[in-house]
Amino acid sequence: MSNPPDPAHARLEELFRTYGARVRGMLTTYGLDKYGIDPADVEQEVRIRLWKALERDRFGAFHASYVQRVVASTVIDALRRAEVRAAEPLPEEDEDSPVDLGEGSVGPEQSAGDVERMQGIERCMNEIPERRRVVVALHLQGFSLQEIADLAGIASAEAARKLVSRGLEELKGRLRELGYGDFDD
Amino acid sequence: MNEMSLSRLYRRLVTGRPQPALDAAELVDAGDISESRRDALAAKLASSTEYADLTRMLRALQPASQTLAEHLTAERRVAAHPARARDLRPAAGARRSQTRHLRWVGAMAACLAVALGLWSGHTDRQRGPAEVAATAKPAALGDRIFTTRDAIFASSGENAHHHQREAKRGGDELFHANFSG
Repeated sequence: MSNPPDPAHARLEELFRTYGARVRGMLTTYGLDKYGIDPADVEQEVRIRLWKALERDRFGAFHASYVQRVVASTVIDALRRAEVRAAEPLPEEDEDSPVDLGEGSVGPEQSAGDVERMQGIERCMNEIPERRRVVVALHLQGFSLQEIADLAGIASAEAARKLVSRGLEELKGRLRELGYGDFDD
Repeated sequence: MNEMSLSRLYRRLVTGRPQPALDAAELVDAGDISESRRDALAAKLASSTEYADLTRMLRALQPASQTLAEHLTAERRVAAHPARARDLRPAAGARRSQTRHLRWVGAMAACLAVALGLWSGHTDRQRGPAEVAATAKPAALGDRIFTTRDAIFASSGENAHHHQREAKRGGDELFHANFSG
């Protein structure tokens, strides 16, 4: 005869299941599954780590920052594992084939043109003063003005907007001077 | 068609590059770290599309993490104090109905006590203080010292005539003074 299920354990299991599903959904929403990680694996790992943390200290307070750290460290570990896997050479890969830059399949001509433009962007970014370069790069990575202000220690979103605007103009101007044409944001 | 989006080209440029060393705590507590570490973190996020996406995901996940942490803390509080275990306690509605019964019984008992007190006070006022005093302690009736029937009070009150009649009949020989010789 089996023991009746522990109600406290069942409640915790339900909480972790709900949270894990949320984590898995967000990994897909924010495109982290493109980097070679499996959202289902990350979800399971997060749940296991949270259970272990709960077992280690049964009566302490549980903080949101701790939960966030568990998710962050799990995803970072998964990204590093995916990076190691990607660095291993595939036997059937042709060395002369164009480099896949991670944004889907493109034709050889377009790929060559894109590589040239990316090299131009890198060159011009390196010529911008560091403070402005970081702010522009964060903008190009998709962070909002408020997030840029928080991350870069800028007083306000408005101040971040001015820095981003000046930096982008400078970058576009240099690219134009080098003959790469006019770029969008 | 040529790709002319700076954002897309830049992200393609840095995607797949070796990841900078980044600590999870550093990423989560980005708003609370020192200025020098914050600049280093911003530079890492600027050069890593993976970490930039992870940072945005963590920000979006913050409310769910907050909710989970609150639930876990509540579950632990129950575990730390078994007497508060929710499973063993009736629901709030059931607890209210139990206390309502007890409260009703208590109220009835209090009303009964008040009614008895009022009734006894009312009957005492109707009988008057002297009667109450006389009936309050039946044992006092037997007190001979303070009764007017005692011979010592024979000269006063309603018993005076009785004693006079006794005296005429010569009942009391001891204290009877005969001055006639």
